[in-house]
Amino acid sequence: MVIAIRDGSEVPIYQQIRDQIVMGISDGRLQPGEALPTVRALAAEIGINSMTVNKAYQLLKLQGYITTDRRNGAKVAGSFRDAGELTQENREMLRRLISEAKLAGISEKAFLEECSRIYQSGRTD
Amino acid sequence: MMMNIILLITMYPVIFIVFFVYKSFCADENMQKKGIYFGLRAPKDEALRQEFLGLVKEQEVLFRRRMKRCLLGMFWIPLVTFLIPSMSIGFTIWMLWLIGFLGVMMLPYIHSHQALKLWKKQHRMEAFADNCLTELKEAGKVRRVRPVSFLLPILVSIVTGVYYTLHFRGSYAGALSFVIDTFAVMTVLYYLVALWMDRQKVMVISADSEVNRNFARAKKNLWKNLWLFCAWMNTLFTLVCAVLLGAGAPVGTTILTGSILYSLILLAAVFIAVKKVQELEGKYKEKREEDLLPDDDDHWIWGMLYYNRQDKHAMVEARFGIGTSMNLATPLGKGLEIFAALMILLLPVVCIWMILLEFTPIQLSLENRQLVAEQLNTDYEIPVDEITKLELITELPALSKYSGTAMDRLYKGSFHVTYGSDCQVFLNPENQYFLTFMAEDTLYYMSGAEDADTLALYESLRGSVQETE
Repeated sequence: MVIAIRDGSEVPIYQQIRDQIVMGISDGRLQPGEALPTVRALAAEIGINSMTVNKAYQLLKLQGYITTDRRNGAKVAGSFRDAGELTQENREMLRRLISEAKLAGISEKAFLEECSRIYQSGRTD
Repeated sequence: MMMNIILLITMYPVIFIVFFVYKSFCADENMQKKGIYFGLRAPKDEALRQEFLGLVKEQEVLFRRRMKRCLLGMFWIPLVTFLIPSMSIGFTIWMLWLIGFLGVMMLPYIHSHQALKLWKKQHRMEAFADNCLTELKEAGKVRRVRPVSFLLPILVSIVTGVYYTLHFRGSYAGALSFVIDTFAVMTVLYYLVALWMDRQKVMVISADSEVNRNFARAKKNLWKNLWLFCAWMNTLFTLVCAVLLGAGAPVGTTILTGSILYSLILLAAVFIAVKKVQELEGKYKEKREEDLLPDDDDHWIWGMLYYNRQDKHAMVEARFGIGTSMNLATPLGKGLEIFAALMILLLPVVCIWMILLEFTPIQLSLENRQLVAEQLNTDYEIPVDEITKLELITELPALSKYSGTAMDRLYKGSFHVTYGSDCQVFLNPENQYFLTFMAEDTLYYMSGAEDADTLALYESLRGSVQETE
């Protein structure tokens, strides 16, 4: 699974790592129970500080996407929280996205089709 | 003359190697499969891409024409050295020519690169991408170097070096053990380089992790094999040198022959490894996904040197040639830049020093009952009272230098008489008469700048030495 980190992005690097791991889990590129690289190995591979990767892993653990223990390192969680609805934060994000789509002249139908395509494929690219 | 012939035989093949290697880099199929032409990434938009490829074709023709012109311009220059009798001036011309040749032959590539880059700039193509693609699942997993496989060559080299240092003492043996210890340490260096290359990130060439993993494994395996071979070859060289020199074989011949063999084998090993890497790249060219890779042309100076402060990786996939390139913005890359700059600056200094040595006459005189040998500085001050066994000879024994200078008209420093003892030498080997004597248990061979000086000094010294004896 390839992740792309943008140095010049306004999104912090730990957030980029977190987002891409969540996307990987969602589209099946990362399977439940699958081992993730160690903090040090991933930091060396991307060429960033270990603390940044550690922060991403802590966030993922807090949100229930991964589990960590000293012996086995980080793993994708076996099951995820099934709230059945968007969190308040995601709802805000979606509202902002819809507003921008409206301003960009995208019709509701086209927007929903795009949403459906992404939802079905699980990939944003 | 002999030096010119040796340099001609060793340096002239460089012309053709550089010419054909640079030329092959211009139309490198593997590089083009990656979408890279003259160190620049081709545009992704199909219409612009076609226009760009048309320009590439034009540049290829111009590149070949310019390469031929540069080759013809540089080819004859070293031949001038055959008209110059001075060894140091001849050597200076050869060295400056070599650096100049390597630089000049780069110009056609840089010219074509700049022309295509200008076209991309005019079409407002973003070429400063800061995307860092990382293979998440394989992070830190693809390792091919096992310390245990390097353990034996390292042990043999170190034991050989230590044994030689402890068993052969004295200034001459000390200088030789320095050579042997240096080679022993190089085995450890080969291991460290292998380890460092093995720790480099997994190159992302495809969205498929399996492809990335297999490609990285195969490539790291090839480099590991090269470094392991180098470690064993170095061990063998250390061992053979230690045995031969320990048995009293001629130093110059042993080290020179060994070094030439060593360099040839190393060159062949690197050539084979490079060929294998090329074959591997060829096998994977269908699996490469060009669209995946960001356009980061502006991080590449002249399309060949990688300089990216944002990228913390010391090694990246090469754009010019094959294998990997160093990120010159990293501390390691900066170290390499300083080293390269020092090497380039050191060369003129060495050349000037050689010219001074060759053109400053040696002076041998008697001052205050001391034999004083001077050239550029005072080399020897030997009290006449300590001189014994003074002789005037007309033929020198076979001498091997182990520290100092050995030029056509100057032998100076610590030498070794083949199958004999160590000695100190200060003479012009083109002379007919030489002095030899003992002082403080050291054997000396000396001469003045001219035979007349040597003969006059011998007459003066003979009386004093006879008085002492």
